[in-house]
Amino acid sequence: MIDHAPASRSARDEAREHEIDTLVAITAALAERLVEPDPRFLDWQAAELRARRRPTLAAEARADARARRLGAAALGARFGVRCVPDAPVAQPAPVAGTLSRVINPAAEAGCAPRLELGIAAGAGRVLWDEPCDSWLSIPDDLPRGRYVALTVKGDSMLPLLHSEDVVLVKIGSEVARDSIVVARRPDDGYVVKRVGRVGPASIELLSLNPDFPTTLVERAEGTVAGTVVLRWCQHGV
Amino acid sequence: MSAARRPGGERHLAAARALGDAALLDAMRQGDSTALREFLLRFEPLLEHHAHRLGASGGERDDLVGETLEDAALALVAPNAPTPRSIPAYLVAALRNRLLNARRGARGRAIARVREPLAREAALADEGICSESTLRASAGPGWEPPRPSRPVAALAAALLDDLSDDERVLLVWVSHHVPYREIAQWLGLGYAAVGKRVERLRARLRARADLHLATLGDADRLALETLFTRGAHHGARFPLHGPLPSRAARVPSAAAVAEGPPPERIDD
Repeated sequence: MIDHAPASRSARDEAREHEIDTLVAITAALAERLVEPDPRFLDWQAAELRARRRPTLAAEARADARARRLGAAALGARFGVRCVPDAPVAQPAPVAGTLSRVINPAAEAGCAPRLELGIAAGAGRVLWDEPCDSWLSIPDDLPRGRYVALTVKGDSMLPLLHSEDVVLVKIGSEVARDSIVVARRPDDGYVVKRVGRVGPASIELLSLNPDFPTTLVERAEGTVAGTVVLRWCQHGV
Repeated sequence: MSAARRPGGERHLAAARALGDAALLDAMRQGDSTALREFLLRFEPLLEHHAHRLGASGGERDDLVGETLEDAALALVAPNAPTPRSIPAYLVAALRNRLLNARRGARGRAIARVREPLAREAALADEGICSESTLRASAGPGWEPPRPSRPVAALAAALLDDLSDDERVLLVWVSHHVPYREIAQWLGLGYAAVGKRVERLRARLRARADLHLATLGDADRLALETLFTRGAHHGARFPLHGPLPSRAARVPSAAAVAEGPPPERIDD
């Protein structure tokens, strides 16, 4: 055995313990890579590490932002809406005119006309008569079809949709429960809402924000403009 | 506005912190963003630790941990998603799988084949001429302990080979300072029995290490001694068989470092 430098017995014992601790550490580090971790140990370790490491303010702020983004994404997945935490990139419309005129050329080019009409704030105006100056590219993994991009106004669909978010709406009058649709109300213009019960003569429109009331609209041709399939959020959520 | 600054925010955060894992998952499924936040903060240190143990470092580790947590959170809150028996185990398994997939993808890239030997050479040169504290200081706050050298890895492998699966698991627990009462509960043993098992295990490691060291040449023994003399700041020294030159004589000069390693001694 090596002749340890420390002279006293207790120092020698201490040195010996440290040697073994080092052996344990290097061997355990390798073992951890090879051994399937035990769930009971992982439960204990997660609690230990969480208790030992108080997160920094920066880490907390990061977790806040990520939690908001994840919350919106989870909600979107539930309602069939993909959430993109960036502002959309628009391009000048190669064909000028109203939506009714440009919708087909845009669809053929894999784009969606973007309208300045804010949904939930456009009382009295008709979607198809809106002028269109810019187009947005439709993501490749979405099925081809006729889409329109609209800007959200108001807080009734928080936390999924924020005011000034842009939504991509697949044009069509089909409604399915729990989908998010753009519907036209005679008094308020276009609104974006979650579909509740669908009756033979009416459709229930729900807000995600509990501060806003539920409404009913007549189930008729033109009531539902389309279904929201994607939303861009310039707030990074 | 941060969650803590919202009205009643601190109370909500404290309530989320107090939840068990299963209750936290339930709250996440109800759409509680405070619970989601707590999920991220609770399991991030665990995944960082395991990512590090699996060899991921720096930016790769941050990306790996962040993506694993986010994907897992979305998968766990999806409608009809099954509830795992242990969320930490689920997350660690997801992390391992993600890392393995990433490495499989990276393995074929020629650029890695070119860069890796260069990076290794550079690291060896650094380690040869700089102390660990110098390396740590020059790397800044992102410093991470170096990967084990070849002799240390060989020693660890030799020690591990000698252990049964149960002993390996116990070793991992001991290295993380899991209290004996926890281990006793998990294994269904008494507190004293756990203490005895751990003592036997430590004694075996030491005996096996001595056997291993007896088979090594000077260069490898020196490398191992360096490992253990780093621990000497805390009082540790390493048992080496046979006489070695004094420490002063063994520290290479800068010129010797520049010339390269000395030829290995051939034992009779």
